[in-house]
Amino acid sequence: MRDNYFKRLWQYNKLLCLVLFSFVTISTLLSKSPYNPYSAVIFSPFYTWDMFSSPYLEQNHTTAYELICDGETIYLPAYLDHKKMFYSYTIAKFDHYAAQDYTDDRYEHYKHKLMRLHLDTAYAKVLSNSRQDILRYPAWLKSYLSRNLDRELNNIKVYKHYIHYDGQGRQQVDSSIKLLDQ
Amino acid sequence: MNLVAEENFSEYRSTIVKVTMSYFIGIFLLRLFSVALPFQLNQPVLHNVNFDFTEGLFMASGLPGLLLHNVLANWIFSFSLLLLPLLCFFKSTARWPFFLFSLIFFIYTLFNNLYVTHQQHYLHFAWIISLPFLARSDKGFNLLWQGARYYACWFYTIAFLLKVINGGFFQEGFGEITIKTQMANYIFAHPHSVQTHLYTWLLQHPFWLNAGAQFTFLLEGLFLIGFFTRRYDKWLILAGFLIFAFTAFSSDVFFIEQFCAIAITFASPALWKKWGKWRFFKPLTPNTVTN
Repeated sequence: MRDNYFKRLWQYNKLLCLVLFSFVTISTLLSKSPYNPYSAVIFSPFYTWDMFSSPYLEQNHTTAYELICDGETIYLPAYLDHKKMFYSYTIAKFDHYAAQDYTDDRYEHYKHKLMRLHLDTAYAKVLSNSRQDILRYPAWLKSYLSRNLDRELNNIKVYKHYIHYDGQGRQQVDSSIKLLDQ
Repeated sequence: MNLVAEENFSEYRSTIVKVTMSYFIGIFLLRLFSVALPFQLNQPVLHNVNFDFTEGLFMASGLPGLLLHNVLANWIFSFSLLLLPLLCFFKSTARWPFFLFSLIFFIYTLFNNLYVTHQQHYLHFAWIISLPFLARSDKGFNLLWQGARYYACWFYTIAFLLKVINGGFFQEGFGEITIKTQMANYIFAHPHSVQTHLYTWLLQHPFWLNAGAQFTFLLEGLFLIGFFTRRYDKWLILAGFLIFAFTAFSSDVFFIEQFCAIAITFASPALWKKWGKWRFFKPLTPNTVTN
């Protein structure tokens, strides 16, 4: 740093310099990596951009979610990501819970972590989703989509398609399951 | 170029306030029109703490429940995100609106990530650039504003290093697999669009996808230069834009908040001087900050 930024910051306010330095150091120490023993801890706003840093395991098979609103498949392009983010991410989450018989498998993880920290394990219920809330998701999704699309929807369906890509780079569906029908 | 002039942002503080607050208003207007502000969410039923200690504390505090289920709190929370930056825009000499906005914005990042059930880290950087305005003195502001730029250099450099350390950088088919997995929903829903035809062609010629992925990683690594000189900052803004554009194309995400924050923090004093002449961003009062 040719202008000695940290030196100037240190001269201006030592505490501020230490805060800034600690922020960067803690964020680095919490970086997600198989070589980092502290990487299991996430502590917002400390973060590092670790997404897409590890190699993929899957090669050719993957899944695709299909959202159908009153018979019409809805999927917005990337530049409308803000409009779709509250349903696209939660559909994947709901799918995960549906595979666990509509329960949040993190309940036990949170309970275990709270126990290790000598904290009341009852908080695990607060931190995870209850089965009742998970089962209310299809109704919420329908009401939110009605608002988001600005029209009253009579029916929504979500399918999960197991797909692969053929030699020509075209998607081929292997099988499909219906995730929800509301 | 004179080093002192090259590093001095304090005399453009009012203009920087106005541009940055316009950016924050833009962020929340985008969310308003995308039906994504807290009052528009119809009280989501799922949340994801995602093993984040801060999110856990936030959830245990009961505040998310209040902000979600109390209609008045929900509306005040939602509209303060738009009105506070507007207040900062017009009352840039007082510090309290900036404090209040930083606090509300931080709560919003936790709230958003909790109910979108995904860690949207780019909001943290947007929040970080709200902090330099809390400085009382212009010298403090100048140092913190430059700090935000160094922070951006750091997180892009770390992003690159993690790809090298964790091995993503060395996976031969990384770009190809990224398209196949991240764009699967889009390709399924739009099998005949021009974009899908482009993906199909690229999957037939995966060299371009894999080279593109490595090029994007290298663009992140380019930010290391930013620690040593400001001379290439406009090229780093371009690198930030290309990272944003390539990620949108290959991963179906739209980090416009992050790119705009990079453009603002990497803008040179000369550029701020130019923007300060625009009527909309022209300082109304001298740069004197009060409590």
